[in-house]
Amino acid sequence: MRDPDMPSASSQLTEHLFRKKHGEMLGALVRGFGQQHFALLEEAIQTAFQRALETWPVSGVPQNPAGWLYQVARNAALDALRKEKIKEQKFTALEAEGACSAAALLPSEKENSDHAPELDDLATMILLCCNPELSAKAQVCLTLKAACGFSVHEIARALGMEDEAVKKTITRAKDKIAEAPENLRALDPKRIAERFALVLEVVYAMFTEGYSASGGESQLRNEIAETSIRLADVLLASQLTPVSRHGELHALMALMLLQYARFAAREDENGVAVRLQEQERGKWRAEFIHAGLVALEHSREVAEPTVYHFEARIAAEHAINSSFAATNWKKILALYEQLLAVKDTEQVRLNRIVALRYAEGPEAALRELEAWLETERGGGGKFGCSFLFHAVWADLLEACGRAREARAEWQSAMQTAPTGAERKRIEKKLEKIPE
Amino acid sequence: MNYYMLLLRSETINFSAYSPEDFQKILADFDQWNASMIREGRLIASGNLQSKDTKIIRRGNVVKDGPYTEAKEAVAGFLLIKAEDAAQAAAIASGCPFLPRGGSVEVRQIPQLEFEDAAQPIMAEHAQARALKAQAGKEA
Repeated sequence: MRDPDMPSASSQLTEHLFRKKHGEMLGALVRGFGQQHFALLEEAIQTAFQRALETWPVSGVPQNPAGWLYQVARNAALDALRKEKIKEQKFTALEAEGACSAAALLPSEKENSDHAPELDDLATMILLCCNPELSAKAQVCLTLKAACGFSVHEIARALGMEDEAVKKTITRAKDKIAEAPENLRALDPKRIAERFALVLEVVYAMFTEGYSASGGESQLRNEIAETSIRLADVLLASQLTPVSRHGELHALMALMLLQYARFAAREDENGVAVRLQEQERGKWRAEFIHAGLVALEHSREVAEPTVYHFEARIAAEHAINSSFAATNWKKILALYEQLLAVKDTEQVRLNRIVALRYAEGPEAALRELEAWLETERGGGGKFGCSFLFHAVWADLLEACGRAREARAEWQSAMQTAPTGAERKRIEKKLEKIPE
Repeated sequence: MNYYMLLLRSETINFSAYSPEDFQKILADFDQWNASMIREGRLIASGNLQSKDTKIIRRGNVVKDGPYTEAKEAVAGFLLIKAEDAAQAAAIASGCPFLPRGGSVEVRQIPQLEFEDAAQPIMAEHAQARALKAQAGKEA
């Protein structure tokens, strides 16, 4: 007879244990067996999860669930490799070296050990997914799938894509990685340092998907944003991360934490987007703001401030003010000018114009925007077609009393709005502007 | 009170399409199912049946690898429970988290459970010990 007080199966497990272990285990297996076996190793993990499901509910959860899962996955991988008859010299050599021995790769269970190898496993996995040969979208999809354990369906829902498209993207990415396997076990520090610039971009792209979301469901977007923060945390703790990148990584962490602190305030209960000036600052989460400011402090140990440094400082400026009116727009404008020097994109320019609007008034901002439009016009391309462009322009026109033109711009903004929440906000706005 | 053996089969479930989160959800569902059986004092034993290294022993000590059942008939785990009758046992079995996902549960009655008779003296001893303890508590 079982003891009714015995903790139940899943209460012994940390939340999202399977999702969290997926990336680590895959990283450990890839390190041991090589990424040319990527698909096979993923299947081995799937097998381990399935065995866990068939065993744990009736036989109880093992003492070390993570170690159990890893052991089973490793054995399944060995079995599958034997079946594929690719147990050639190379593979035997690997085995002899002990690269695949569970003891060498098994996540250490020691709580107070200075360094946890599973962090390196996950970092390996992230490095692998951030392959420069892949498109930005493929990098994000693959990182979410292979390193973070999200399903194809979840990724599709979160990114507003079709299941089939995500599936194809991931399959192609995996093929590409398996075609030209890099020996990650012997990746030299210089190449890792280079790869890290891309890793940070992917982590930030993932977070931005969660943050601004090109469509997609909010619950999942939250989870993806949280996962991005967790990845940054793992990268900071991993020995694979070059110390020279720590300042930049802290800055990225600060940026994500500060933005995440405002998540709950960005939509009201009806799913309408709430702009910065109307957000209830009481809904901003102080613990994240605090953590973000601490990370920003750590980020100072860097020779030259990066894009993330400026963006984090801007986010911090917003976060520390108790009201929109108290915002130091002069300082924010100066930060945008510094940011523009290292990252000259349409979005940064538009944000700078918004800062200018509050620092020096809407007329000055509108003049700059229209002058900019004049110089770019005829350049072709997609300039001036983005949602943000229409929205900023409409807002400035409205503030300068040019209601009719503002109305037309808001309508253009509405057509390009990426989320339902934004559309709802503009609909509300249009009701108030006279025809 | 009767005894029933529930045989869980999951080979027909398409686990390959499951996300880590899906797996975790099934475990959580099992938790609830198990907890309700434990709460009602119905669960006597549970465990797995290995399919690997299975041997079938025939007359004359002929040992063969087995079992020869089809993969879809493989039993992943079993539960030994107490229930009033077959209908109640079936109702309990219908809560198995494998069912809505394409698995199945076979319910078999065990007309007489041998070990329970064997356990009678031990249980009587325990009951006596408990009674003595309760009395000692009262007197103190």
